[in-house]
Amino acid sequence: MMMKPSGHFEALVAAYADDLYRYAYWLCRDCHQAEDLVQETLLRSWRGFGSVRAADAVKAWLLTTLRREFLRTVMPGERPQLLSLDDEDGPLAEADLPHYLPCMDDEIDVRRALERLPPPYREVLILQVYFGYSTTELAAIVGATEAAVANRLLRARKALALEQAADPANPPQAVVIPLKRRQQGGRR
Amino acid sequence: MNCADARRAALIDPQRLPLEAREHIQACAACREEFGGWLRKDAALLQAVRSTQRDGLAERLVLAHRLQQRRRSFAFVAAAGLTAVGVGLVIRSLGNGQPLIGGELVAFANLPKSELPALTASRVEELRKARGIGADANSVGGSGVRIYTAKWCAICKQAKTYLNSHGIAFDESDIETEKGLQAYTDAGGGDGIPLLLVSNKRVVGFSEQAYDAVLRCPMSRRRADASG
Repeated sequence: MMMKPSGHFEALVAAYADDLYRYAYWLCRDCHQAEDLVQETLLRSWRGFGSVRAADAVKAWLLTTLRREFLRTVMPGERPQLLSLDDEDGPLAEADLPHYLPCMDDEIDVRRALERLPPPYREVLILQVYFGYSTTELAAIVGATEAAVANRLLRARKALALEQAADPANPPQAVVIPLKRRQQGGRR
Repeated sequence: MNCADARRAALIDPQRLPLEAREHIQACAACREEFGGWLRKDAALLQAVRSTQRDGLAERLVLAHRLQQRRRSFAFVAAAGLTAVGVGLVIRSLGNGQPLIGGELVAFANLPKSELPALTASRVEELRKARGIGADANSVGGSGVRIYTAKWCAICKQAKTYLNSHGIAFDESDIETEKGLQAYTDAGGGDGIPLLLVSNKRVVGFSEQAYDAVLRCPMSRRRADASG
């Protein structure tokens, strides 16, 4: 799809508004702020569409613009909150790698756990799982190295697992079962 | 690749596993089961994000865009209007009360003149819009001097008396006639009468000093022609 510089704003809204809102909501977790972010992003971006051709590039560009707008308006002076402190810590050790828990499949639990995730983890996880970006593309959007993004994703899934395991709605024995299975299965 | 490496790869991006990790997961029952679990968890994550919606978002965004466009249009028109007023003021100050429309500025301010009747003024406005301002401002006729007058205008009579008394040949247009009014409009008229055109000079109103200044060259030339 190619966007005309002075083309149809309605088409732009129809194509991207919902996705932008999802990203915005999970960035700030406030529906009103998220809507303001989407509106500001689309209105600002509207003037600069002449140089953007492919639909994928449009979406990535809009997400980047929205993220910048978020940092500028919602979190002025608090940019480090979207930078993971673990970026420089290197990859997780084998013992720190989380295991899958059966209780993680429930959508409500996932949503609750997602809300409690630190912003840098939540952001990359959503960009990957929902928008389907690779670590290379994520690195360009969030302005980090691929290694840092990979580390954030790994830690995000670990944090998610811990959040879900700590959720009182989940049975505590669920944490134990896969570990036993792991010990029985052994390493290859 | 061992279980830990495969799991690490799966935790980073379950949808884009490296070939080695895929092979390991296919061969290892424990990893296969866990990997299937992570994929299901991602599916649950996807569903959780997808369920994040805002009713009426698109309508509000389109409305906001339209309002912004209207504000921009209004701002543009206002800016253009202010610019035009500014330019007009500059021109007026340069011309000492004489608008610069289709003719050279003549520096005589506030000469005695007759204002146009309201009906005539509105007709001039209509003609301006229809024909363009000052469309034929420099058309002064064969005599080189043209004056736009009305029969009821006492100042026009003074102007004509001046021209006659100085032996200046001139063409006259009565703005009370349709043709005369059109010519008056084309000449950039509208501020009052008499309007005198000499070559590319224009004088609105009448005073002997103004006419002396404007007609000096043509008069000299005429006198020289007459004597020659």
